[in-house]
Amino acid sequence: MNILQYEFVQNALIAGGLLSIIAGIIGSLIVVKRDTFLIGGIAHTSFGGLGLFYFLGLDPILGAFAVAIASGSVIGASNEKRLQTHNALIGVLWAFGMALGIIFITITPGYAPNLLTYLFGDILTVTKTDILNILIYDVLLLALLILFYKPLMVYLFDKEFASLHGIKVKLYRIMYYLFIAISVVLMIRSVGIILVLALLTIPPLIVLRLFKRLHHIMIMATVFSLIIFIGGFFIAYYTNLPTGPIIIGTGTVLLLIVRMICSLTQKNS
Amino acid sequence: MNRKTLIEIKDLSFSFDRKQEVLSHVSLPLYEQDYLVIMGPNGGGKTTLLKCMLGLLKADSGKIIYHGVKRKDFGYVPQFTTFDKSMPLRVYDFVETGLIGDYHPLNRRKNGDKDLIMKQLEDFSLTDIAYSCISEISGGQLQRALLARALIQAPKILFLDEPTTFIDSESRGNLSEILKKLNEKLAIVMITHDTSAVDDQVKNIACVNKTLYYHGRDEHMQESLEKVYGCPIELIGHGLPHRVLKEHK
Repeated sequence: MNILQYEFVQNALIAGGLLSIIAGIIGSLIVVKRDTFLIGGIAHTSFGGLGLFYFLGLDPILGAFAVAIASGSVIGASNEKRLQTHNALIGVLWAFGMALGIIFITITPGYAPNLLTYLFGDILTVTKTDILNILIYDVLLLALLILFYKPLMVYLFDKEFASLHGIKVKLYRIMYYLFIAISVVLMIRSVGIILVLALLTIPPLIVLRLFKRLHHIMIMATVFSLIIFIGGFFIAYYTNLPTGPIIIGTGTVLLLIVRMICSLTQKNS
Repeated sequence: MNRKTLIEIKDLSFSFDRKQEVLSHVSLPLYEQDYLVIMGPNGGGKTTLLKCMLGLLKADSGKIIYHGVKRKDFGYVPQFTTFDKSMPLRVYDFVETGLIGDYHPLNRRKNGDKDLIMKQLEDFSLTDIAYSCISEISGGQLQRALLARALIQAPKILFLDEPTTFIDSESRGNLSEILKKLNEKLAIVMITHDTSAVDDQVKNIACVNKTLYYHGRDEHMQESLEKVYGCPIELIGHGLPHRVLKEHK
């Protein structure tokens, strides 16, 4: 029987396709702005919210969402220029979030959930509602990106020049952290906390040196994300191994291959 | 000088976090078609003063009066260290960002923009590297790209922050020529800690180290400069067979 006939497989592939757009756009921004540590921080901190909402008997993903936004705001409010304290703050939130999550899940009466589900996610459990949420977010993200791409570029490149020309630098900063927080939570559902980081960084890293313009990097990162996702999904299916880790493994191997080809062709030329 | 005043700085003081005073009671005029060089040692508050003039920083006390000039009349060439050179951005796109002040999300690129950008690239000898990444070009080329970006909207005042730091002597000579030509049409404010950046085109010099030690252009400048730097200073115009001031004894 063709596996594409299963509804959960269809859902997983559609979700993967839609998540690839997030990985391509937000991932490229993060890699270009060198904020990968920040993503790890927000993703892991949100585990605290996940545990709290689980303890309260509410939807854990909503808790993760609330804490991702809160930690994004706290990190966003701290001064990026004071790198030492900025990075230390991310580290503290990272550890504290994980600790809180585990404490809450432990003290919750009854059967303890499988932590691996949240840490590594499971794309096969994605529902139609999840898909709709990701789709709405994709449309919003694309619309804003198309409308504000040029000022965003100026903001990313040179904040002083941006503010001299009337770009609301603070608003861009808030929006940047807000969109990262939402992206992280949407991805936690399918690939899990630990692997969000990889899915947001591997595709842009693959194409970063191959293209000279940010929107080309975004488009190609989306394409590579899709390749990694679909490739990883089928490898996982036929080898009967967990989907999330296999997707990331596929991405890492692809990254290594592309980088090796690049350095070989550079040497030859 | 009987020219019209464009910017008047009056009794300006600035401190970071209201603790560390960087500028104290500075008053300084900028005239139409002025070529003002703000000099002083590193950490003396030159960049802070420039950012106050640009409206990027807010002073604790004192005021800055603008006579017929707005923010959009300012062209700004920042220090190389203030922006991220590793960004995926081609020289063409970089120069285009100078037009961002006119950008409106629902009113997309006007047809004339491309011609304007290409003309600007040509004027600054950047046509050959228009489609290279800014991470791949030399310091002198980047400096010209920064000028092209700052000047694309025809500003009335050009501000330059330490423009000679990361460029070689040939590029410095070129920069000096470009600025001389530009000064026929617009006012220039350049800050530098490098005394060799001052040449005979400079119309006024301001020596700043927390307070203003001197403003003008005469023989007293030498004395003030030495006071500001705390050591003997010799001003030599580079690339030109002359001394800006009398030989230092």
